[in-house]
Amino acid sequence: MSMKKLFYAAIAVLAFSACRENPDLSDLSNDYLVFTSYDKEADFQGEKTYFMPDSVMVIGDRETPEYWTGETAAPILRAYEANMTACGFTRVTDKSLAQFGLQSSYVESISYFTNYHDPYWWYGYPGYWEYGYWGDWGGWYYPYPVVYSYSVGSLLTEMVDLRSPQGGDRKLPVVWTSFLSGLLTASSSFNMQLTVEAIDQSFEQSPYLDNQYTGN
Amino acid sequence: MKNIKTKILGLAAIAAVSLALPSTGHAQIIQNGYVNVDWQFNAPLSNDFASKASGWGMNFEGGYYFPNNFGLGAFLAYHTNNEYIPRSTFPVGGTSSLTTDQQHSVFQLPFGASGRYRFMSGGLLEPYVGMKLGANYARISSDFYVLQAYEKTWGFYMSPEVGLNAFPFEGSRIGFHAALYYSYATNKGSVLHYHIDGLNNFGFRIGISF
Repeated sequence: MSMKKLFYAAIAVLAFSACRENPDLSDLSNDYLVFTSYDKEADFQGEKTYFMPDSVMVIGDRETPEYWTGETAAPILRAYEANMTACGFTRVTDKSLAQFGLQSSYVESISYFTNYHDPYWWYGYPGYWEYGYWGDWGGWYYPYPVVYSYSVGSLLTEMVDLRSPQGGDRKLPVVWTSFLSGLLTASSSFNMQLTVEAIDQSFEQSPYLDNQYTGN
Repeated sequence: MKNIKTKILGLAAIAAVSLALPSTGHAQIIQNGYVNVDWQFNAPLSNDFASKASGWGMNFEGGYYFPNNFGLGAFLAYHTNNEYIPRSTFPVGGTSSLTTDQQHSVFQLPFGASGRYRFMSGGLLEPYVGMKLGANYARISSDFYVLQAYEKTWGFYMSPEVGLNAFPFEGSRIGFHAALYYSYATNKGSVLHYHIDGLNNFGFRIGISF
């Protein structure tokens, strides 16, 4: 083989191998993702009360509901309470007196949901925060597109409007959702510090929850 | 796996074609014909989505010189420009917000007709000016976390070019090619809160000519 042919072949191979279509995703950080949505028609102004259960539901691979309670759930609940207070919400212990409800679920495993996509994958989980837990409603209502990705290491928090009219044919509006993901460390264990930072960020990017909010 | 297999087949095909080229004598496949195979370096202009210049692209062009120096032919090129977007918070739709870092990518694949005029022929150097006209397919995407948002777009493509073919081997029409180009495509698209209206590029190509 002549040197000339080798030269041409080398140019062709090097040129072609220099091309690619997909970006290098290893450049992306492993830091958390925060996605929030809200109902534009919801009224978050004025005196506001809310009820928050003293536990975080864990969506795992068992068919019986599990919950984080006590000290396990405390940092998460404290972070939510601090941010809600800063936004002008007052926590009450009597659910029937609350204007809003706040429920959190942590996705520990997605194995239960691999064949369950519609309408929302977590609906099928036994024991998931049910609308009946909050009162006499016949379903959930999301007034905005919901685009959750069911990935392990995610915290899903929803605020429901308990002022909404009740009845078996009525749906309970979910007026704010917060989807936090990437809450695992490199060793795939839950990172509480990262979670608390992500909770803070979810309120940071939801200024409309604040009493002082005057934006559009 | 499919991409790797396709890439290996492509590499093998190009290497085989290169090795099959005759190294002496008249190497033009068609009398008065020309072929350029180039690696290219592309820098997006006025593009806020993926503005980082890159060398991830190629250009293929072939044509026929009508007497005396006007050439007409066809071309196909492709290029990818990426840009890492640091962590930020931005609106999605009218009621949502997202905090994440992103990897932006614009993949362009223009193809169509090309024309050129060479100022000299039959010698060591053949400088020319050219113009490419055609369609431009562009895939605009944003990768973040484990998700991707993207839009596929089509637009009209035009690209003036100045170049030079060099044939340093005596008695052979196998040589080298270099060119500077500008391109504009009318592609429009939206990904997340980003909007693209037109794709401007500037770059250069180097490769082989026969």
